[in-house]
Amino acid sequence: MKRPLKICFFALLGALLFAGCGTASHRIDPSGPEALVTVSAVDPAEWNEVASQAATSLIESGALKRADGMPSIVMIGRLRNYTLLHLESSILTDKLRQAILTSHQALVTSAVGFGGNVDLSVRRIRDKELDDLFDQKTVPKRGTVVAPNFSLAGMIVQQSAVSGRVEESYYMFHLTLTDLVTGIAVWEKNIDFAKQATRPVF
Amino acid sequence: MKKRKLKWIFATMAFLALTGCQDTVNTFANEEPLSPEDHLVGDKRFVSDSFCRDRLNLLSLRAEQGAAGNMIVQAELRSERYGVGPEIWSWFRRDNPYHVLYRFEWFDANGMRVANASSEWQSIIFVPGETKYLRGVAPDSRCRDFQLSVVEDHRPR
Repeated sequence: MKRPLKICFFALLGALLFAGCGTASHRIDPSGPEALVTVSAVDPAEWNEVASQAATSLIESGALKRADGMPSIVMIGRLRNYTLLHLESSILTDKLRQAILTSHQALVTSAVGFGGNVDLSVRRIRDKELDDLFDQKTVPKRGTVVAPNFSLAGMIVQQSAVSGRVEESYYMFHLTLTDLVTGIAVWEKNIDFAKQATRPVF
Repeated sequence: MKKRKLKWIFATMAFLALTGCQDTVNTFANEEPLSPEDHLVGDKRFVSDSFCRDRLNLLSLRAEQGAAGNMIVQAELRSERYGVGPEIWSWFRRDNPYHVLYRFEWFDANGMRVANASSEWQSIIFVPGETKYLRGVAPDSRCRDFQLSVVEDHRPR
């Protein structure tokens, strides 16, 4: 009789201990000290770091400033993903759009670009030029959209290595700002980081 | 008696092994710095983590106006986690190299914070004794002031 009681007691204790190991759902700062660091992915904190470093470098360079004082127009081009991962590059491009706009050095176009950086409404509203539902005076005319001066594009590269139980991933982001008239790259930035983890023995 | 001797020998060996394994950085610089001192700015500190303050020494803080008219700030920091005690402690805590997060916040002439994408926590790694330069660029030319925050990075790795 005593033995089953003991087993029950220890089982209950074990269950309580395991249940106590979990944490309740809570919000964290995506790039703060609580955020997770994983080897096999680009974590939110890293997207934020890359965006921050790229924005800082682009603004510091003054490449967006035009000699005539007029604001430049930037289109967000393609961020090619040469990794084996599914990456949401819009996390980076959205932050860069915001950084360019708040810098007051340039404006960003939504009329042309890649992926989520294009607002199809610019084209769709012009398709209403024959729609009698609309007051034609309020429908934007064709030939009024401003063409961009610069294109911001880039690529992400990953290289992985394993040595024994140690796994390492190297990521490199390459960003380029190209003058669309001359085709010359006026700003470039490489941002890289490596992550390492040791697999447990068992 | 022999056992006691052996214990002492092993303890001394372990101590020497620990202190001998230091991977610290030595630096050599010009005795009379060539950089002008008029870009140096004074600093006002609010220290909530005295461990971080003792482990990371702010050597200088410089500010200038960049080519694009934006304020540029450079903070020179040195990791002070060298020597026997700190080395043993960082080995015990698995804190070598030392991971730190930093963030620049920017303010306009009225002291209002300027929201931007570059005010995110950035990670930086210090080898004991290493000097690193944190660089912050104001998101626009209206920014007149800044605040640098530094926190120890204990994210699970």
